[in-house]
Order: sequence, then C-alpha cells, then structure tokens
Amino acid sequence: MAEKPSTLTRSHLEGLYIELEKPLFNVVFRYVWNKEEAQDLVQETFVKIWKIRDRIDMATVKPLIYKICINKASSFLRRKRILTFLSLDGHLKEPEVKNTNSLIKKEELLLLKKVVDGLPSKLKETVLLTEFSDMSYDEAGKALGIPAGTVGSRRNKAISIMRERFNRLYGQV
Amino acid sequence: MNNIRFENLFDNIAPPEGGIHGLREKLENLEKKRGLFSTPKFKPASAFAIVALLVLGISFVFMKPENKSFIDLAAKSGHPIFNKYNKRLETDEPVSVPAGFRTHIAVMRIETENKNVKFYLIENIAGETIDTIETDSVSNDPI
Repeated sequence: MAEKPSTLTRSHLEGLYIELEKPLFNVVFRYVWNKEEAQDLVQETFVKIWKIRDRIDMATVKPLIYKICINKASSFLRRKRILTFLSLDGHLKEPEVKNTNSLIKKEELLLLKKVVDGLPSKLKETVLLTEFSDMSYDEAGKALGIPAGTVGSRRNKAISIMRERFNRLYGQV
Repeated sequence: MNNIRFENLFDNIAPPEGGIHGLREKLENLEKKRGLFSTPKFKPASAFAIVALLVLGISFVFMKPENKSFIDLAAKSGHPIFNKYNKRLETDEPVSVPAGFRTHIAVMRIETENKNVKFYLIENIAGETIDTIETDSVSNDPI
C-alpha cells in the first residue's frame, strides 16, 4: 500500500479525484439531478481542496472532500431554488437521462428523485454518503460532524422512509 | 418500470467523460489567477484608504467654497436677488428654507427671459429650489 504524502501534491489530488469521482458524482447528482452540474460541483470541490491544501490533515482528507462536496451541493440547490423563485418561470430540471450508461432508466430516475427529494436534508446526506461512498460509519460521521452511531440510526431511518415512500408510490417492495 | 426494485434506487450512474481534464483545466485557471494576484498592489485596506481619501478630497472641494462663494457673491454682486440672503447672513439668522441651506452652495441661473422680465431661480447644490425672483431685465429691480 502506497504511503500517503504528508502534504497534498497535484498528482495525489488527481489520484483522489479518479478514486472518488464516481461516488461523489452519485451523491451530488442526487442533489442537483443534472449530470453536468453534478460533475462541475465535484470538480469545484477538488479545486477548493487544492486551495486549502496547506491546512489539510491528510488522514481525514476523504471525509473532508465529501463534506465540502455535500455543502457545495446544498448551497447550489439553495441558490437554484431562490433563482427559480425569483424568475417565477422555472422549475427544477427533469433528470438528465441521455447517454446514461447505467441500468437506470428515465422512469427509475424520476422515481428516485421523488423518493430522495422527500427526505429531510440530514437523513438525505447520511443515506447518500453511506450508500455511495466506501467510507465507514466512523469516517462518514467525521464528514457529517456526527457520531458513528448517529450515522447508522439516520441511515436506517432514511432507508425506512424511502422504502415506505417507494411502496406508497408504486406498491412494490 | 414494473421491474424496478427498491435497491435499484442506489444504482451507480456513470459521470460524464473527461472529468479529470475538466479538473486540470480549472486548476490551471486557478494557478493563472494566483499568478496575477500573487503580489497584489491594492490590498483591501489600501483600497479603503484610497476611497476614504477620495471622499474627503471631494468633500473638501465642495465644502471649501460653500459659504465663501455665497457670501462673496452676495457681497460683490450687489444684485437685489442676494439682498435678502445677505441680510440674513449679516444678522446671523438661520436661513429657514431649505434646512441646511447654509451648508450648500447657492447657484443662480436665468431660467427664462421674456420681454423685459428676467426670471431667476436659486437652487442649492442638491438641485432644490430655494427661491425664485422676477426682475426687470434692464434695471434688475425685483418686480
């Protein structure tokens, strides 16, 4: 196993990006529901990390990246809601499904949006982090600023709410 | 749609291609910006000081002649239009209309000239009308 550098280098940053791009993208996508915007937010997260590289503790860099990414996604969403409210003509974009080279189809994506968007923000960030990142509850707790036990309970509650909503909408398990 | 299961909600979606190139581009742009502003000539404190000096300078330019100009005009012109203000200044009575008149520069200009009547409009620097006086265009006496 390669030893982690004490300070963040450019090549290490790029290595982290390659490693974390997909899970981060999947978390952020479930906030903004737009692939390009989600990718942009992930990249902005790494730019932010690069800006503050002198103050980063390399032992906790992954939780920090997730934390910044979620904060950026939340801020983006808040800003978008305000702009939508002010413009009085818009509504959140439908999920982008073109060229989605995964098994998820448009209907499934719309269903996912309905189920995920209904979650309270604390439960939403917890369940997305635990489902898409490979972090332990302890690491996820560091990213969210909560104890590991709370991560578990919030995740279970979120899954329970989502499953109930899923069943109510489609009558399936 | 009917085949969808709850677990499918957490299926991974592939991000768009070229993410790493986009990141590199943003990092390069960041470095360029840092290069431009690495030795800033104008720090926020300097900028604030410059703005403050400008405000003070402009205020000084406008404040300096305010009383002088009006008194001088009133004293030197001998024009009837200034008499009532001049009297007030001499007796140190505050000018009532508008409030704060004495802190402004009085400006006089001819609004119209019809037949033998001149119409004077006195404004302060804020553009507020202080007084209007009609005079005979030849003798300049108030009508």
